[in-house]
Amino acid sequence: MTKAQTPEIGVGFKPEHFANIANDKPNLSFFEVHAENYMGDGGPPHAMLRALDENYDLSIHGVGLSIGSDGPLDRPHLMRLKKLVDRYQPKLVSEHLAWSSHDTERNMLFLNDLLPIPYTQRTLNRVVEHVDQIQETLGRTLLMENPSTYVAFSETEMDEISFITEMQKRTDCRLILDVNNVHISANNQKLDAYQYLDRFPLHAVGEIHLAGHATDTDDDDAPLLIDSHDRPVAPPVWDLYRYVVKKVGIRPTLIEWDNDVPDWPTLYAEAVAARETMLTQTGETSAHALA
Amino acid sequence: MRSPNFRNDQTSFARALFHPDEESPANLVDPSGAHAPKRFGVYRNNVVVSLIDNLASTFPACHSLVGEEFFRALAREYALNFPPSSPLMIYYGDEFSQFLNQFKPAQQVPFLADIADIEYKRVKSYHAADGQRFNPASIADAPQDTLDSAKLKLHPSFYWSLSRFPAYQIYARAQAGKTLEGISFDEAEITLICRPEWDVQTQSISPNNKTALTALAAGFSLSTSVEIAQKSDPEFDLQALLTQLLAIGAIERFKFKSGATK
Ligand SMILES: [Fe+2]
Repeated sequence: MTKAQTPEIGVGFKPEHFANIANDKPNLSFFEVHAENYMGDGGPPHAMLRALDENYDLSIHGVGLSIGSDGPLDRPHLMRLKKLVDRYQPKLVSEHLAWSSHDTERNMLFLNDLLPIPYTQRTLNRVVEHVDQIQETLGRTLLMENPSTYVAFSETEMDEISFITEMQKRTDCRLILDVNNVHISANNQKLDAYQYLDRFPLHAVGEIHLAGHATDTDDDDAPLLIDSHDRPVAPPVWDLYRYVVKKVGIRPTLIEWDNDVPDWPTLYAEAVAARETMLTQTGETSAHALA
Repeated sequence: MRSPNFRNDQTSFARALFHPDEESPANLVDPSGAHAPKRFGVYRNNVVVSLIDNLASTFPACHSLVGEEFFRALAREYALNFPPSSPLMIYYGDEFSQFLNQFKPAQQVPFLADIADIEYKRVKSYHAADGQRFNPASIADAPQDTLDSAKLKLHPSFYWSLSRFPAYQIYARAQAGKTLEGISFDEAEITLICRPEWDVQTQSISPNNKTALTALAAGFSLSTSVEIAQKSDPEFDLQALLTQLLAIGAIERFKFKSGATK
């Protein structure tokens, strides 16, 4: 008899939820943390991570390697990530298709945001080189996340899907499909999100991200969506998620909520909604999966 | 066609982020190909606001002392002039106290830099390596002469901060959301900061302990530290200082002369 696949659902871990998690032992598969918040030597951050590690899988999500930098990778930072990954042996390790560090002539500048890169042959080569280096150093497969973007580049040579597909093929990395980012970028770049998903290399998706976004306006006063991670997942993003899950089946799914962090029950309810959606879309039943 | 220089693009992108008065890079466009300064403005705003928010969470007492508007103005000035130089954002703000000391508008609140010093050291203490609890049995039967020549092994999360103001009292009031009414601002104070267990602790001691604390932290023995301290303060009482250090968990152990730890 084949065992029913249980959907692996996780949430982004916030220290303010630690007591709830320790008491409730919520029915989740994994917690994701931003690598850089755990690069101190000790203290509560590591104590909490060790405690989570006892009952759950961990996913380490880097936000500081600046893989899209045209300069060389920040070696000391890569070694910090390696130390963390070696210490916790997380189930997943991921980073972003973006840049955030810039080596000026005088010093290194960290910009604390995930900045966009133009999609050209040249940037592709550089990103591939960096992903190769990271996978080699860590001795494991990296997941690369699709970005949310607010601008386009006049020097663009290929579209985002071609870039990601090529990057994945050449590095054999896996991918995080952030469905909220797809919704944001589709709106902001005037693309069709469903067509984007149809062309996305879904076979390589090792994790799905869901998050909330805000709405601003662009230079023509048209809606510009902002990747704010500060509210519940929006209905059109749930629609895209249903569409993806129907196509790919059960994949680890994460709720990201990084700003205006809600109380634990509110965040957990989002995770439960993701589980229900996944079960419905893949034809599993709740009872079946929980058995 | 000449291939565009990606590196120069990142240089101009990074530069434009921190110079709101300058035009957004010409290669940044909207989907129709039109120059899109407002879209670029989202990045400009995200970067600076994220740095200000980071400082607000590292320096909550400073924030509450000067209020939202003034704090954000100070933090913006700091962010634009001292942007992070490493992806370790948990340690961002290492020069904030010095900046407050030098930045004219901040001097309306003369003790602010010292409160920032306490708060930054609390962050370092929070992330410091885990240390050991002091075991009283380890010195129970040490003879006095051995004890005199002993040195302190301080806890890795231990920091202290000297202020010519009653910085600890001000910090504690700010954190409790209380006013500064009744504080006499001409009293100096030392704040001890340590994380013996889970939470970072802060405690105030007399500024008279400055010399001895400096000597002990520099690795001088108990007796030498007392000698140095008594040069300026003949009444100096080491016992009282050790009791306070032990109370906050700042001492891991006494290191005895032979090198062997009792
Ligand atoms: Fe994401």
